[in-house]
Amino acid sequence: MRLLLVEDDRGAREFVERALREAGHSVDATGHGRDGLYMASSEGYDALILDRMLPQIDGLTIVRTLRASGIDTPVLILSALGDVDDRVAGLRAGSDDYLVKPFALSELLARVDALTRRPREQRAGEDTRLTVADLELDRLKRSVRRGDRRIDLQPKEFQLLEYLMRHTDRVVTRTMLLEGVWDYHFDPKTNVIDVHVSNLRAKIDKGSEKPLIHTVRGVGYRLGI
Amino acid sequence: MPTRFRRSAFFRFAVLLPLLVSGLAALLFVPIYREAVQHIRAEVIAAIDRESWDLEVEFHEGGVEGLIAAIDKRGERELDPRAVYLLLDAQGRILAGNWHGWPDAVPRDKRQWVAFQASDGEAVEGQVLPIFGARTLLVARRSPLVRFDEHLAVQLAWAALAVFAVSALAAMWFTSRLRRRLRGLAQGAEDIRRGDLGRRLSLTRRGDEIDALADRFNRTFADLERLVDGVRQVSNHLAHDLRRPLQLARQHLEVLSHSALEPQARAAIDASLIEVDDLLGTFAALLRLARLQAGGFELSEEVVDLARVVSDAGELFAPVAAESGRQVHLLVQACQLRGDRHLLFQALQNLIENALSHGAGDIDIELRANGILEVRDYGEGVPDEALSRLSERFYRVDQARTAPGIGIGLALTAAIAELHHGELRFANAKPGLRAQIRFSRLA
Repeated sequence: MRLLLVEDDRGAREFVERALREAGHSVDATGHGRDGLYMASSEGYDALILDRMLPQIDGLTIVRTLRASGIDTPVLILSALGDVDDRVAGLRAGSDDYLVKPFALSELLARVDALTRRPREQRAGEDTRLTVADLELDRLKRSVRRGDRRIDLQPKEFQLLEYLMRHTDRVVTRTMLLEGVWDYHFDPKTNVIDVHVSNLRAKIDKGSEKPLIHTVRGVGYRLGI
Repeated sequence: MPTRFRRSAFFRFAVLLPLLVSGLAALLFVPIYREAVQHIRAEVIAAIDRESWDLEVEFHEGGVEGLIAAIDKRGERELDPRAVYLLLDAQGRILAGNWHGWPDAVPRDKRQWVAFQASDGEAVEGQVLPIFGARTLLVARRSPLVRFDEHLAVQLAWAALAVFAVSALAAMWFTSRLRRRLRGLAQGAEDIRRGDLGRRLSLTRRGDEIDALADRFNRTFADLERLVDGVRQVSNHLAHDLRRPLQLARQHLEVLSHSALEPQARAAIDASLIEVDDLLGTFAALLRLARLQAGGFELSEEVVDLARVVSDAGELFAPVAAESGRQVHLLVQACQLRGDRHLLFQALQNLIENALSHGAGDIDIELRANGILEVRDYGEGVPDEALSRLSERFYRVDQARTAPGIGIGLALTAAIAELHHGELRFANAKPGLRAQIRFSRLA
């Protein structure tokens, strides 16, 4: 993916830039808000990663300006301000995701990935049936089958599976699951998400040769072959 | 009388003032009344005396005939409708006068002052004057005093009632206006306390004492707003600046962990990462707590389905509890309030996690329609002395601080509860600990 990174802290910028490159993205980076705005408006990027607190012109203003000029590129905001109202402000300004510093690299990579594939996801959103290998989920009927086996899921388990299937082959972090499935922002101290996923995995993967739900060590989970 | 009335200064004022005024008026009036009465009486007596004197002179100058003529003349002209004259001869026959007969029980033998009643009940007062020749003259007057007395009494009663009623009404009207102003000020202060730091109390243009007070308050609130802004800026700078070293350390560690390393080194790095994350998490929680407690936090006014939040929280943690063989029991009634659902979820999460890590047995989560939320476990509970300190920052029951956690969770819960007009309390449910939040303002 072609990414633009705007972060005034040199150490953080170089760190993130390197990580993104290593993950296979091509990255343009700048420490100046105005340059960032200019570059974002003129060149086509797949996604923008903006620090919120920039000198001269802050991240949210950049997003607002872009949106006002009709530029729809997905935006991920990085910020040390982590309260819910800061998040809401970020999203209202037009950004697509908001990550609080400090973050794990894997979290950043997973979210950038989710951002850039969003258009495809929107198409997937129109499908009433999601299929991965022999696993089939029917949104309208709220039913799940694996092969010819019918699987009974609790409502939350169904939503969890749906989220994983909408992000097939992509790493999904615990925080993403919290926000996407439970729609709350918080940091659990216990391994709450893990327990839900392992219960789901027990229902989905049990008795089948190929496990579909994989744990990605230190990052999160991935549903795929 | 309802306590609210008894306690109100305004009520006391509205009742006591009229009472005082009426009492004072009555007190002042009594001597005036007495003086008036005395004066009238003196006048009456003086008038009777004058007449007696005049008539005696007539007798001395004109004899009985002269006296009779004088009396008749007075009767003809009827100068004073109240005057009473009666002249009797030695045998008691009426010689002159305007009275029908000698009044009963009035002696005739000597000169004296007498009083008797007329046939219409009116009081009559006068003098009996023996005249030479065993005749008796009565000079008297109908006394205005009794009627005056009655008349006055009635007037006074009405006056007292009127004074009381008018001053009571005036006091009530005036104090109700004052009370309304004070209530407005109290509401403004409450709004400011609840977080609307920019709000100011409104002043009338009168510039009276209440306005002066409101102005004082406004200045204090301006200072407060400045201070809170200062704190907020400091904590935001803290967020940015102090976190940086930790952030950088984390980044370096993460870079390291991606390189090829021996298992021992990798394990050490992973362990360090966990500690750094823990520290960062603590930092974040502290900052959050500081922001919530500093006030000036503008809470959203959105209507939150609290029942939904509670159910979601219960369902989220049920599997975790099940791993240790513990069950989560949810008893939820419909309940709504205004606020922030993420914060409320956090508050509940802290309570549940607390029950999970420090309690034992099943966990009961109950939300009642009247706004009472309870999380209860069946473990050992907490020593009684510790109950009131549980929501203190950094307080740990286990002073040795061996179990994980730093004691911020419950402080956060308490702060969130308070922001939502609720109060967090703990009690030993025997067995176990019961955490209760009473939300007093529902939507």
